[in-house]
Amino acid sequence: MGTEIENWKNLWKEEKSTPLDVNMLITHVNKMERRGKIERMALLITIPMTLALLGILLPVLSNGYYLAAFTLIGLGMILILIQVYRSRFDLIHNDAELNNRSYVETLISKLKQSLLTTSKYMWVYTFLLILGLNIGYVDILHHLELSIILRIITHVVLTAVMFFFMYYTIEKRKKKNNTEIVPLIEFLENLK
Amino acid sequence: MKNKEQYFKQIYEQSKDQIYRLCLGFMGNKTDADDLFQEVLIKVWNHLEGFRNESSIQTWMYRITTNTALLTLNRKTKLSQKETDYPPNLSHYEAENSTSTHKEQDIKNLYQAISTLKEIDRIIIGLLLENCSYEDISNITGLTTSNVGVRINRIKTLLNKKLK
Repeated sequence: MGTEIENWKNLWKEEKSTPLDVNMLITHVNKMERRGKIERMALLITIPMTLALLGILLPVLSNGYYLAAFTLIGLGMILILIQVYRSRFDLIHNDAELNNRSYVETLISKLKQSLLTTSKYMWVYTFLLILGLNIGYVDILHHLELSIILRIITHVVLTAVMFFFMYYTIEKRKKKNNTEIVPLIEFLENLK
Repeated sequence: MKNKEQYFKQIYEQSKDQIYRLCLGFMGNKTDADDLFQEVLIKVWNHLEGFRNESSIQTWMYRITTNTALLTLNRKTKLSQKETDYPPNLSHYEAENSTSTHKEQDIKNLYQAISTLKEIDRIIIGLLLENCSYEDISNITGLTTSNVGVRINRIKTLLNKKLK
């Protein structure tokens, strides 16, 4: 058996890597590094900016309805932002320093967080978004002086449209998770 | 940044063939191995500043290769599901059989046999053939040393059967 291993080693080592333009690779990874930083910064800036802009454009502080709508939608956005960061693979700093068991366990927990974002947090966000929008619309419709029936219909239609839009988005994401993340979790669980 | 580039070039020159062989053993064909190889190099670059010299740079790079290889599994599985007309680890070697020498054929057979093993076993035998000790393999894969020993014996038997 020992000779066989030696033979295999000799054969194995005959293969050499294909020539690679390492300078081009370095340029490429440098670009990726910069792009990644920009994307992360953009994500961190856009959500607070959107909320700040809404806060400035709408009379949030002088109107209870707008304040409630703004708070609820803002809460939902921040919730999703936190969750996205929690499930981000890049958060595993020095992943190569960890032994494989820790790496696998961390990875499983991050993948599960990703599933949880779709199955739970997206629905919480949907609820907050619909509630926030409806509260905001109470004031808008009041100013339009519509009849109570028309106002109720508008709320129902708005709720239904938002609900089905979010339902479709969540289901699409769930299907993607079932084909991409779930098999990977199962495989990683077997490695533990 | 200049130092990082120089260090990266240095470790690339030292370890490129070893890393590439691990990728080839895991993926079973040169196209996928090239992709994995590039992905590993990108990860090495991204984490190079975090390397703390707690292990040798080679062991550290093997760990990255192992982790990256396991992560690519999902993509590979998806591809093999789409390409149901072809075996998942179809090797490029098969098309070249008529022109290869006896030794080349043996190399091809070995890599092909390894690529049919379980994913973790491909990594273990690859590391063994790169002269890693059982302790190193245990450290890289997270398996216990005794488990590595048991698996290696099983892999040897399996490979012997496949190569006969």
